[in-house]
Amino acid sequence: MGAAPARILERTLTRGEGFPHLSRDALRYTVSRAAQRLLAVAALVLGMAATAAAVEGYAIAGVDPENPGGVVAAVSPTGFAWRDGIRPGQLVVALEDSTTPGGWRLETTDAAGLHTSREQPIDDALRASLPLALLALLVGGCAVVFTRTHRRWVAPVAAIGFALAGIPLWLQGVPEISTAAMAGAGFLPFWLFAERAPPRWRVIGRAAVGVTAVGWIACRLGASPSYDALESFRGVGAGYGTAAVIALATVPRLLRGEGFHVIRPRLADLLAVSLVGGVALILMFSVHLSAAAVFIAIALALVAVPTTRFIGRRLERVFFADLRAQVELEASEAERARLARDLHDVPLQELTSVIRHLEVVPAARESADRLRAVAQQLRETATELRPPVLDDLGLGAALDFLASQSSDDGVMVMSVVADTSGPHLEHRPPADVELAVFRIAQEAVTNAIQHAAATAIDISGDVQHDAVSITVHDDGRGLTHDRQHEAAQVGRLGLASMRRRAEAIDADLAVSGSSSGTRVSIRWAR
Amino acid sequence: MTIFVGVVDDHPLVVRGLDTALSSVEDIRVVASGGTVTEARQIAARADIDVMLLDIRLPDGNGLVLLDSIAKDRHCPVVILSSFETPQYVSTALKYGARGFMLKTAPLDELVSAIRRVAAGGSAFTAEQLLEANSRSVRLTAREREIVRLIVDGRSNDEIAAAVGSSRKTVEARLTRLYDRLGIASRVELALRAERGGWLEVASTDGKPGGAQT
Repeated sequence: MGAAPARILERTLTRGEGFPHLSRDALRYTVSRAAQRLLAVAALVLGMAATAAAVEGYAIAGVDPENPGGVVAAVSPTGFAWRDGIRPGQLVVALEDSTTPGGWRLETTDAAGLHTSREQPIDDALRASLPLALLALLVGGCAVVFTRTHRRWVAPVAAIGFALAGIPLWLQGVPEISTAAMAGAGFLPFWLFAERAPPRWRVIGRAAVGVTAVGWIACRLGASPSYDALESFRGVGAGYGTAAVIALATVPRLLRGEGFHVIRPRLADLLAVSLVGGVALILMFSVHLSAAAVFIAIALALVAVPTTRFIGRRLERVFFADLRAQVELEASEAERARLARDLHDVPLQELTSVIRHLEVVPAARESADRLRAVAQQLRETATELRPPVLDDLGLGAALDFLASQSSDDGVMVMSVVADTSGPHLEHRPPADVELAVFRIAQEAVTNAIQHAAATAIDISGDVQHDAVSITVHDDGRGLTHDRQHEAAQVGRLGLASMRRRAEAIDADLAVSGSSSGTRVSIRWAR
Repeated sequence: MTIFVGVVDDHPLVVRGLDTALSSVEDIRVVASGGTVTEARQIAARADIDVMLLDIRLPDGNGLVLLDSIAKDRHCPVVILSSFETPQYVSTALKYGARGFMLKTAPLDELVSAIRRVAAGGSAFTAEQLLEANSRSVRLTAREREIVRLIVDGRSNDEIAAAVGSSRKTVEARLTRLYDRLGIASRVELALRAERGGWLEVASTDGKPGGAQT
């Protein structure tokens, strides 16, 4: 919804047909698109960094530092000691407790030189922040996906991602990154607020937000005393600001009765984002890869998002194709019925009345005749859309109509159907059954004439309110099993649609063929 | 003598158009009109109405079904005025006791002469309509026609089976079904009725009717 005007603008721009008054909008559009992408990527990267930081809290050394015997006995390749270059067989130079309780420092040497590995005491808070970090990763991934699908939501979602990622980073004690993330989380909402202000205030507001953010980062990194005051302001801003921006985007629309702008990312997209998060988790937990390696893995996985989406759509098509075809079939029948009814109810009746009025004017006789021809065309169109006989008189009469209409000099179509129900609705099978059986018979007759070169086609059977059994038998080149199979595979002969219609009303469809003709039988019982 | 006519159609424009057109004719007066099956039932029961013009598609039901349901009661003669005309409509109207069947767009003079004929106690079905409807009362599939032809020629079931390339059992089964459907007791009766009714000649006249007559 939100993406539509932007897409039109994009098309206009690439066509380069020149709408001079658009040039400023075009620039704004380009800048805001770039900013959105930047924000989304930043949110994702911070999510990655936060996850890596939190996972470090779970890292194990993979080496027994207590080993006093001169030589390193065993090192697990999945531990961080291996990453630090510690290998079995190296000489232990030093093993000492670090200044913090529970930590240690191991120094070894081999031909390549000195290797050092140290264990920091595990920070419980950092460990506990892992869910937040993973959420930040997910939210960052969503922000990237939204740059393509829900642009309005990129900035608010990125702001949430910043806020989430900032916490593990802060606990890990990386001031540069966590400060930037927290600044983003705090000031982004105000930046978005400014967007809703009048133009002049928008510029002033944004400048103020920008200056404050830069000043805040400077104070934080420079450990200035004014940092505390700014920090408390930012903390409130991050929380209330984000909530306010989201509320501003939704509440006025709700009040205006426009409905909630629901975010509906494609299933395949969410799958891809979760997959990235899951793979990252497995890599960091089970394999204890370094953050850099995981970043690369995630980047690769992100490259694979379009592929995942492509595969997802393919799967969707394979699994739900039948359902979709069924829905399309029903929608098309409903549309045909509606059109036929509209033709009957409005133009045909109006024409009838106009003809009656013209008839009493002697000079208008010819016009009345012309209008009669128009009425006839309308009748034919309505009949083609949906035979009125089917609705007015029932299945037996409709099959009779089908037979008489399909017959010509080369083909003799005969309908001998015992229909005890007649036009009485309460004695007739349900309308959907009538329609399905009629369409199947119609398809069978069309096939016999067009593809089997039949010269005689019989429609026989009987129709009761609780049971219908119709057989269409032709004398054409029959459908042998092989040809039937082949035809079904290439979707020709409408066999697939016949089967679908039969399935929809829970009826049995049998198609059998030999060199002497084809027989299509449909059997339905309540 | 003036003919009193009742008109039932759910489109007010059509009713008004008919009223305008018919009031230009001296001996016809539209004295009642309605738009539903319920109203049609009331009009049909009125003794002062000479002819009722009845639409098929009405908001609360089907005009033909109404005709069938009042068949046993005394009611005024009914001419069906339909938006569509196919032989199936005509034969159904005939079966349920209508006295005529016309398209709503039929020329006024045809409509007037139909009303006059029905008011005088006659029928307003055209010869064409009756022929078409009758040819629908006895119908044979291509295989049945082949078998009937062989029976008229005096062949036995075994000979017929050999001629049509199927077993004697199949031929017998087909014949039994045919007897049941047509209410025939023996092959002699079948042959007689087939010859008198001209069953074997209808083949080429069963062309495209498809409501082509306007």
